[in-house]
Amino acid sequence: MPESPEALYARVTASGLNRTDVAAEATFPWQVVDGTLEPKPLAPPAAEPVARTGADGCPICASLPTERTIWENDDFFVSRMFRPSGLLILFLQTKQHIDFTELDDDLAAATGRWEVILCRIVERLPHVAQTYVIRFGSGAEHLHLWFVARPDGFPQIRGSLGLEYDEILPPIPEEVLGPDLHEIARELATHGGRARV
Amino acid sequence: MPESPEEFYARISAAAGADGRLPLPDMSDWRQFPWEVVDGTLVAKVLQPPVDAEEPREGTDPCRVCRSYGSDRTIWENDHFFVSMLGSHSLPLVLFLQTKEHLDFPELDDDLAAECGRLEVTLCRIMEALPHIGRVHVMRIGDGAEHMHDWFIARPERFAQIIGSLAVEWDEILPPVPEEIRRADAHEVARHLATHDGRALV
Repeated sequence: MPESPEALYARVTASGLNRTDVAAEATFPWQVVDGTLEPKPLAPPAAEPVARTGADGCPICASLPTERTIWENDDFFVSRMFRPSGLLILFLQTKQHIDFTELDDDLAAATGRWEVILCRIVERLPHVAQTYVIRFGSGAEHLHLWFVARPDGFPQIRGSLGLEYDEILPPIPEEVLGPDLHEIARELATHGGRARV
Repeated sequence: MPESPEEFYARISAAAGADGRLPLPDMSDWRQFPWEVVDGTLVAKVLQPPVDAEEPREGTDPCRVCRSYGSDRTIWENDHFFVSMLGSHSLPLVLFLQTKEHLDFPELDDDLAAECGRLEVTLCRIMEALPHIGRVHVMRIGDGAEHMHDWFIARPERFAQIIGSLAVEWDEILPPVPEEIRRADAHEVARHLATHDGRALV
């Protein structure tokens, strides 16, 4: 099961927060000017939209047969986060290389049902306060919905900014994460499809 | 229609100071704002010890989402769902998809979940097809109110800084979209939605 708030706090306190150089990232909105926090000035629009990963070399298509996949059925698969993460994060993805806006009525309905089922399963894990379900779609065109479990008991980690703690908190240890992924996949498979971990 | 990136940028530049900067928004004082400046460097705030019990979400008494149904923020409805505008926003368009019944997202039954999925895709597609919209983020956060409310946040196209998970923070930084533009866009979205199902209310 996920760590209790006390266990999580003890681990974070022992290892310290990741204070990566976020301000240097292009999409990070803040910077320090003369010792004060300021929003970065907005740069003028570019001539072209920011490119997404397309069908050629799609990392989502390529990830299906890998050990990141924890569950699949005929149309969808669920994967663990693609890097070590401070929050429990899963992706619901179509097997077909399609964008969210390209889902036909049947796949859209199935997506809605799996969103609710997966959200419910993750949210029922002990010490999970809330599970965010998010479609950004700015990095890759292949549909990938984020499921982000917010830990219970930390008023600082709440709301849409809570997602940032994915990179601020030290990664969840594999011995904690592995059994949780197994449990989630097992429960998903009681609704349909096959657990792969 | 939404402003072109050039119009959007011109309006923002006019609101910014001579150095191109907008004022620091209130958001930086929020408890949930993860950053602070220490010795001139931007760092993540120290995590405070866990609390015994979290502050509850808004429940049924009173529920802002229930009460908003039928207000002038509601732009579309069918038998089970309604779509509302955010009171004010700075990204081009921000809408909510909500159940008429006071239900939390994990409480949706199979039929409502399927209908929710279809409406999410339809609404996302309609908003993304508006001119000058880069991408529409669809989010269930659910930390504020237990009554289901999916966010639909249209981000502008061609701003490399306003993209991905942090794009929503620009909604607090940028000046609000003029009322006549966002009302006209909401009308257009409601009209399109009603060609699929339900009734436009604006």
